Amino acid sequence: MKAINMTMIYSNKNYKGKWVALEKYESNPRVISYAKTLEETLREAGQKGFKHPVIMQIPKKVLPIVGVV
Amino acid sequence: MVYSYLTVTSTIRRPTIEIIVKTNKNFAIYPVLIDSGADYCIFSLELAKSLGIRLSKTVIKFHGIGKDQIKGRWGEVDLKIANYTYGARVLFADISQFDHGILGQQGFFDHFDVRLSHQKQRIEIEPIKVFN
Repeated sequence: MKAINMTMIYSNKNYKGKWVALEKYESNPRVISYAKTLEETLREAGQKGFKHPVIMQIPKKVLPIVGVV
Repeated sequence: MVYSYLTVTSTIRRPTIEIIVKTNKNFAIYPVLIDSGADYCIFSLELAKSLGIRLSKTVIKFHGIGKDQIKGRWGEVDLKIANYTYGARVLFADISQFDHGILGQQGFFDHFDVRLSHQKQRIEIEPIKVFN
C-alpha cells in the first residue's frame, strides 16, 4: 500500500509553523490556504468556497515523535 | 477500514488517519496520529476554539518523553472514524510542536482494534463491540 506523501507540504518553508487547509487528504494535495492561525486559515478557505477543508498544523521543524503522554 | 501511512519526510512515516471532529453546529476534518502510548486523545486548542467547544475549567497536566509539561482542558466532541460516530472526551492543548492531533487509549483504542503494518504502510482499524 502506498503511503500518503506530504513531504512537499512539510518541507515547504511557506507552511512551516502554520496551519494549512487542504482540498483532500491525499498525496501532494492542493493547498487552499495557510496562515498562522486556524481561524485565519479557515476564513480564507471559506472565501475560496471550501467551508470544510482538511486542516493540518505544520511544525516549524519536523522532529521524530517518541510517544506522548 | 484500511488507511495508508503518512510520509512526512524521506525518513519519517507515521500511522495517521483523517477523522471528523464534530459538535452540534460544526465539524472539522482533522488528520490525527494513532499513538498507542498515549493515554488520551489530544487535539489542538485552536481546533476547540474554532469549533466552539466548551472546555473544562480543570486543567490537566501531561507530558511526553521530555521533561516539559503541557496543560490541557477536557472537551466533549463526537468523533467520526471509519463511518462510526461516537462521543468522546478529548484533551485540548497547545500541541503545535507535535504537528498532529493524537488518538490514544481512551476515546480511540477503547473503540477500535488496530493493526499497523509499517512494512506495508497499512493501517487497519476495526470497530469493537461497543458499536454493536
